[in-house]
Amino acid sequence: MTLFLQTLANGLVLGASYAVIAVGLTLVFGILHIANFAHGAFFAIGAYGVLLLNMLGMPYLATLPLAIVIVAIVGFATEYLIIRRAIYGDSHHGSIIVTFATGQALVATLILLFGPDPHPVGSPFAQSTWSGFGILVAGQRIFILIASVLVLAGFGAWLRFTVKGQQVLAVAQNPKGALYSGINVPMIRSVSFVVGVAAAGFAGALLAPIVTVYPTMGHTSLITGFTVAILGGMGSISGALLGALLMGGLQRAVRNLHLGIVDACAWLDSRDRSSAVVAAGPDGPTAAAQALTSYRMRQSLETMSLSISQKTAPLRNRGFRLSYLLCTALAVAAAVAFGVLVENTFVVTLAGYTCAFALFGLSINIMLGGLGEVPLGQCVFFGIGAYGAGIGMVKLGLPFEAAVTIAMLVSIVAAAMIGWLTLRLTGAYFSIVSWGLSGVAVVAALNLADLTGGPLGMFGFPPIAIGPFQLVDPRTYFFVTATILLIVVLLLAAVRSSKFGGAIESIRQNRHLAQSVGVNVFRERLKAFVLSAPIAALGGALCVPYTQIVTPEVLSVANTVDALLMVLIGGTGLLVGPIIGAMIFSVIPYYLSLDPNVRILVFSTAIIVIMVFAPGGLHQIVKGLLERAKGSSNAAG
Amino acid sequence: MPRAEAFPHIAVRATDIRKRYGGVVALNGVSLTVAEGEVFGIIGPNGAGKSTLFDILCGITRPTSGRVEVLGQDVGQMSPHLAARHGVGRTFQRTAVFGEGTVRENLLYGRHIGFRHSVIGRIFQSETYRTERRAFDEKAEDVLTLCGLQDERDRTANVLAYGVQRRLAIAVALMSDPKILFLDEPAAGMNGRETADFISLVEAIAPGRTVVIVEHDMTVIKALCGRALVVVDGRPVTIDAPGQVFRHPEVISAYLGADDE
Repeated sequence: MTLFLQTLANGLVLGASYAVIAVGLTLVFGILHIANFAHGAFFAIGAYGVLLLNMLGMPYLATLPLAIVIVAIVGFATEYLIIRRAIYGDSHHGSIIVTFATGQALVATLILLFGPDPHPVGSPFAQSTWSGFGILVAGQRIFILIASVLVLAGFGAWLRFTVKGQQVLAVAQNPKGALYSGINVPMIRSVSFVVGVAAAGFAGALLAPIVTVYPTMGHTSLITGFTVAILGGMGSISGALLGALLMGGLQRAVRNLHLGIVDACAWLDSRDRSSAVVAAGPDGPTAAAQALTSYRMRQSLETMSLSISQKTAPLRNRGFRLSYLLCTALAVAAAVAFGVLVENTFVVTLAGYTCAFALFGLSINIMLGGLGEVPLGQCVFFGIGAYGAGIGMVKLGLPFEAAVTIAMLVSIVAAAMIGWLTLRLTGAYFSIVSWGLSGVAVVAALNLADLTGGPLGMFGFPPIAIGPFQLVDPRTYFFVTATILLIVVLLLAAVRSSKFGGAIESIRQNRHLAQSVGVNVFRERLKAFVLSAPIAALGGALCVPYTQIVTPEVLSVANTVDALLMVLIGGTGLLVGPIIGAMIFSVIPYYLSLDPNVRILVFSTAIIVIMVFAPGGLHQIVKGLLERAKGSSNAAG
Repeated sequence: MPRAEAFPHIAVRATDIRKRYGGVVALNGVSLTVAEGEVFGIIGPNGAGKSTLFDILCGITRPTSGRVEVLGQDVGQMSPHLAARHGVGRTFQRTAVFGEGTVRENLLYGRHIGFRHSVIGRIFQSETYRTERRAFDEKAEDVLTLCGLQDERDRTANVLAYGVQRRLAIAVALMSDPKILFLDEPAAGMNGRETADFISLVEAIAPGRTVVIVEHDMTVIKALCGRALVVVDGRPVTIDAPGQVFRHPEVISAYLGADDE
């Protein structure tokens, strides 16, 4: 009984803070129709606000309101500079990418400003506890509970009793109707975003004393927030409250009952517990929650995902055979000339690596340009390829070809399973789950040290060769990767102009119509996903001869972000777009040696800039200029 | 049903269809039979349940109770994408075309079930692939001519005029050689000239197939349909020739009473 009460009390506290996070997320989703992937960053900024003011000598309680103000200012700047321009306008293109990149940029900024280490924050309630009915609750937790309930009550009262709150509800229901009845819709959107992220910041400020403050602290809370919001039905505030309580209770209960898989819980607890809850659901109760989740998802996310998938730039289907042959011949000539003429062997090796990484870009573009999905977890397949080569060669002593083949097969099986679970839905759901998976994969790679070498990774490769070709030699490495890249591009070009490619493109443009002309939407999407996985794995494996080491980092989302940037630079609409992106991409690090966090900041900012100014990438800019020069054929026709 | 008897086979048979959304009864016991080769109309004031009935007939929505057979197949047991394989073509009231594709690409996507080739076949230009491509080119030319879209083939669907988009929607549906064509408010939003063009288009494509039109516009129904079903408040009022239908007292009161366009 005591254990039950204790569990209930702790669950209540946890649930209350989740509720504050989820309500913010829900508000932004309800009004702006975007799943705000930057939400976790604002959570962290709230905590850092407290930390900063604390260091300046302010008492904890006084820092709380100021932290909210700081978050609100950053939130407004984000809304004004990025969200408003990239998402509300005509190009409603990929709100997931924009908010995700924003989150990455903000977290990288925090790391650069405060360092990656956790900082403790003092609280006046730290020493005090409350006990009664045989249970013990820390003072800070009681404070969190009270403050959360007050904020939620205030929030509810704001929505219900103030004019502005009523306007927010009106915009959520019908933006056009609200606009016609004289409501300043853009302003309401701004307000909603700022209030939403301020709620996240407040939660961060509240939790700072118990969880300590570190830059990536928001990741867990973001995923939890999503789970909670989804559980309650995205867009419903009261649903979010209920979901939060359920989630808080469940997590506590699961922890106390020690449901079997102790090992799993141990990693998950240490790093990324909640992402596993979304992704894998290793515990019984959470699996039940997941079933409920996917049901609610069905209702709430369809609409949003439609708008995303319809607005990604198209892969065009124009098969001019002659120009194909010509382009292929030119590409081969350029590659041969490069491989033979360039003296600097490091540059040649780098070019080989670029070709390998471009494969990963192509894989991502199958999802992004082809399906209109943002595959944040595509790095998992890349990592399977890299680890496949590593485990196969170093641990099992297999030849490179065999190791790569096995890794590609594993990635196919993994993609089939993941796709089966996630691809019935689109948009944010797929992105969230695949992101969570990459978190799980990193944790697994860190902890399965016998197999993966743990945090140190795998190294000490025997000389890597494909058949008679020694990949140690820079020129051979380049020629092999370039040939493979060319073959994959030609394969994808054929896919695109086949029945399957047409089906994929028709689904992206208009799901319902595609279904009505006989396309099995789910199966074709699954096929595309399964096709993308071994290409990523191949890219991952072919990077190994260059890197000579495989660490858990290959599985991290930062890897996807790099490749995503390549794809976006080159343009999602062009098959070879990722390759152009990869070339540009490999030149920059060669001339600038950047700190990893500066790199994330620069690249995330670049993604945002591209999304704001040229959602179709370089390809679109060039095409726009050409069309302007000769006059649009559409306008003339 | 004097005209129906002229045709030996039944294309659509719906028996006692009921549909309830929570407490709201959208359809209350609608039955109808459409003979093969017939052009059949479904009319009624706004909110009468026409669109619900349409969605149920072509398998998008499942009825709460009742049975729908299209070309001898139980539609209730069929996944939506399978309907096309059984010879059912549809056009929707909204989101009618593949907006970012050209007219020709729209037709290509519409041909989906007419293709059998694999990716491998595509790479090596297999016999199947080449035959299918030739068949597609011929079919596309026919459909483009039929729908008056010859001059629009390389234009993007999004930039086409509204009436042209509606014709393209029908062209897309025709690419799968449907035996039965369901048209959901095909003339909604068209001007007089476009409506007239549309009527002659349907007259051109109707021979040899069954057409079911859900429509608001009386001109269209009168010009095209042999028989029409009137739905008011989810109830079937009458099934008769369009000329007769509009003399029915309940139809007159429903139409005059309802605040219609």
